[in-house]
Amino acid sequence: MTKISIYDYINGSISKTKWQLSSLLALMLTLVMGSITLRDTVYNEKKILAALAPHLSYLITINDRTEIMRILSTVDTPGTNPVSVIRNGTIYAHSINPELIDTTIASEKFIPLFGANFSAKKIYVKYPLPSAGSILLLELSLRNILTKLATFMGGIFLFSLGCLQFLSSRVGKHLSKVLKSIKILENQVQRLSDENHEETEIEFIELDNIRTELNRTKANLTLAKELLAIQKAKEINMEIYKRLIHDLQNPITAMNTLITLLDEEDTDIEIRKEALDALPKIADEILCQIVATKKNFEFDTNTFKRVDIRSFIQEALVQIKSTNPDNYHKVTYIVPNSPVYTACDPPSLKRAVINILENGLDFSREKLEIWLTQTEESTSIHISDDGPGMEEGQFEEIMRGTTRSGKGNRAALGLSSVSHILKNHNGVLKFKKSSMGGSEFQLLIGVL
Amino acid sequence: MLRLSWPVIVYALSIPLYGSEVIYKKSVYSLPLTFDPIKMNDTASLLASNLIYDGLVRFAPNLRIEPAIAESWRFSGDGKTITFKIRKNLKFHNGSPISVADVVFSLKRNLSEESVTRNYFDCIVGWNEKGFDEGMGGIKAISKDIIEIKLKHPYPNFLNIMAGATAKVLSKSEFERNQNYFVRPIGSGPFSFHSLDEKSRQVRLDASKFNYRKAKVSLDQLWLIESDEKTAISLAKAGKIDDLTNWPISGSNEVFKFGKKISAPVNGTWIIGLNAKLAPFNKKSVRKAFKRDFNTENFRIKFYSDSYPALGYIPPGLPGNIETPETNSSVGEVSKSKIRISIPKELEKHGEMKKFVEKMLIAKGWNVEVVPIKWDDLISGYSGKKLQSFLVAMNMDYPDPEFLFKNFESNNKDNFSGISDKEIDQLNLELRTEPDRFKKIPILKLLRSKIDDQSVTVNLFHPKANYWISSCVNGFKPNIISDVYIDYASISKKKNCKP
Repeated sequence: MTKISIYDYINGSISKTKWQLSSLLALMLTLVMGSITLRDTVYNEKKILAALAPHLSYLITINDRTEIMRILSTVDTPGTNPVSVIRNGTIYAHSINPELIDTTIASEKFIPLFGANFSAKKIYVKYPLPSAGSILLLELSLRNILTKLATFMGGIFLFSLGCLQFLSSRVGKHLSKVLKSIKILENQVQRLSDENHEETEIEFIELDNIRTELNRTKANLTLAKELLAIQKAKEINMEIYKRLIHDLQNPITAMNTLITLLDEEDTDIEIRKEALDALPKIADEILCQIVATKKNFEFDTNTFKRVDIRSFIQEALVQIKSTNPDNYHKVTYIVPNSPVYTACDPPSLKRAVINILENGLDFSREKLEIWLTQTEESTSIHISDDGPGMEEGQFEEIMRGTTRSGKGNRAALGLSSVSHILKNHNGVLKFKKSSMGGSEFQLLIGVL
Repeated sequence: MLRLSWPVIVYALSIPLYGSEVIYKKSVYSLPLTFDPIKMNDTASLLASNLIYDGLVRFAPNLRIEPAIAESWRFSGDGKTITFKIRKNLKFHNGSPISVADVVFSLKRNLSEESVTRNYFDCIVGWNEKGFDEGMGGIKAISKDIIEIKLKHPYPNFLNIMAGATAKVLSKSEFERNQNYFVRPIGSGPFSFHSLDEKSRQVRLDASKFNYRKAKVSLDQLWLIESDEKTAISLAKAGKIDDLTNWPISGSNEVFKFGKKISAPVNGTWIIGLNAKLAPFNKKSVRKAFKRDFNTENFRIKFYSDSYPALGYIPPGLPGNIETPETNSSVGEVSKSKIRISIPKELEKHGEMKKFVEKMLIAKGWNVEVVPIKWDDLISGYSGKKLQSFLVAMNMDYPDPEFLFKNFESNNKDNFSGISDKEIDQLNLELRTEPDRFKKIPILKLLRSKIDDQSVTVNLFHPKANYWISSCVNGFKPNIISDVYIDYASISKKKNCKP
């Protein structure tokens, strides 16, 4: 499929067919004019014969050949189109050649056309005379007629071709003018969503109506989005609770088990010791879980908005800088020139970014890079560091929640939380080894 | 006027060499009897007149009237005044310019006593039985290039007469200076007079140096060579003659195997004229009986089978021509008196004709003798009205039946029949003065019946001209009035062509 603008299509079509169309029309016009002229020639000659007929008829009845010949010679003034009076199949009088008098007329094959008989060399125009058995016969030289006709038709052709060319160029110019409005229309359509609309040379009423409708729709959409965001936020909160409950299930079960062991009399000392050691740790872990959940709730998670994510990444970096002033120099933010709009819950997404950044700063040696990519289906925030990194299998274990240990445990909890936030954004947290040797996280936000 | 057209003198040919010039040789039955247009009464003279002289207008082959010396003309609203505007810078063959004075002078000569055609011009104001009263302003020059002619009555045939072979323009100054003007005639026609050789019976004409026509005259010389019919035909077969158009040749003649045959009707009629002044034809009843007993159709079929039957005096294509046979109910008495029918001896078949006619009429009780006589004797007897009856061919000066009917006017010198009928005279006058072509028809029919009733002509046939010309000749166009009007200026002949 070839895409082409309406303007180019129409303009191109006119230019391409201008000559062919003009020539065809000129030819048709020429043929029509030629036929009319030929018919008129025959018709006019017949009219002359008709006008002479009564007088000639009387001259025949009184046998006045002299006068008839003079009249015939007047009709055939240049002496090129002989006129004769035929009486009972014999030439009674002839305008040019007395030799033909009293001879019989030669028979020729002819085609009847326009009320005359066309033979190979002549056009015979006949008119019956009132005298019985008499006719007036005019012989027109077919070659002379065709020569004149060809000259005339050539003139007509050139003239009409010229006129049509002129006309089509004028039409082309006017069409260009008309097509200019399509450009304007295109421009205006492009700026339909522009709320600060400035009036242009041409304003289309329909577009104005569309614009009003669009703005109203936009407002409704925004409202709908907000409602959707609230709904989504509720869902997220519910999810956080569910996750907390899920996350607390194992440590609480572990605590119950340890407490049971401590309560049982037959538990040996070693086990008791280990249980006693483990209990504070588990309690600490439970506390961490609750604290993390609390932190998530601290953000306003009520709205999903179409925002330029460059801005909240910037805000996250400011926050990181304030909490990690010593390590912040490692951060390199590659900011795109144009806005990167996406629909999201900015606070939660910001929190996810901060989580990843904090982890990155903890583990990175010298470098932490952050950049953005966008496709039609998604927007991604990439965070890469030059730290020790981890294996992809380890990342998957963290995502399944089956690993825990000190600092790594915290990070795991952070990643798990980020993953939850992204899932709420129809997205996913992806991991791979960074080109710098450490970890590279991709926070993929799907289209909502 | 009578036009006679048969050979009288046997031609002994001597053809000199004329370098590379294109010479057109036309055989004629007679050399011109005169070069004075107003005295011309024979085809040979009229032919020469048309070649040497020009009139104000002339006939085209299709009978249209074309400009000649006059470049244009105009009729007044009442049809009684005609003004001719003559062309500028025209010259006679001697190089002198043609002026309105020459035209006025020449036209007035046509109305003079000596003019044999003066009756043609009786419509002009000032014309009278005795002469022409110039003071009445019938012909006058209005300006240096305009001539005005006033008519007594509107006369549509006037232009026909002006295009005729007798209304020619002569050089007034040369005429007044030179008493022998017609020995070496000077005109402004397409050919100028070169010489007349009485011995070899030739008139030689040169192409005019002052030709004003659009097309150049392509012939360098035109020779009129007198001979009889038999000699002319043998010369034509030998390729020594280019033109036999002066001869009434049958379409089946062998000569047509050697050249071009161009056939066309011609406004003529062959008759046996009956002299009503001489017995026994002074009796109408005898004339009627003679006419009744002469089987003209048999004569026609035997001698000129490709001609048209003559059911009346007027040829086909002219008002008054009879197309369907009328019942010949005429009764009359066969005369026992001796009747001599003179026929031209120069006719190739005069012997056969004599036998045929005598046999036919004697069988019906007539005391007839057909007498072949020489052409000049025939002309002399005809003019002097001394012949009882005679075979002649009547050609016309202009294409109107009134021309032929005029021969029966009492005061006409050419009234060969000698009849004097006031009713015929009156009808002739009415015919000439009636300007409406259609109103003339009943007059014409009445006149025709009156003349037919007089039975002064046995109408033999109306000829169909079979013109023989050499295969080296191009551009020949017949003229249906007469061969006199054939336009030789537009004829060409291939150089060094051997037919």
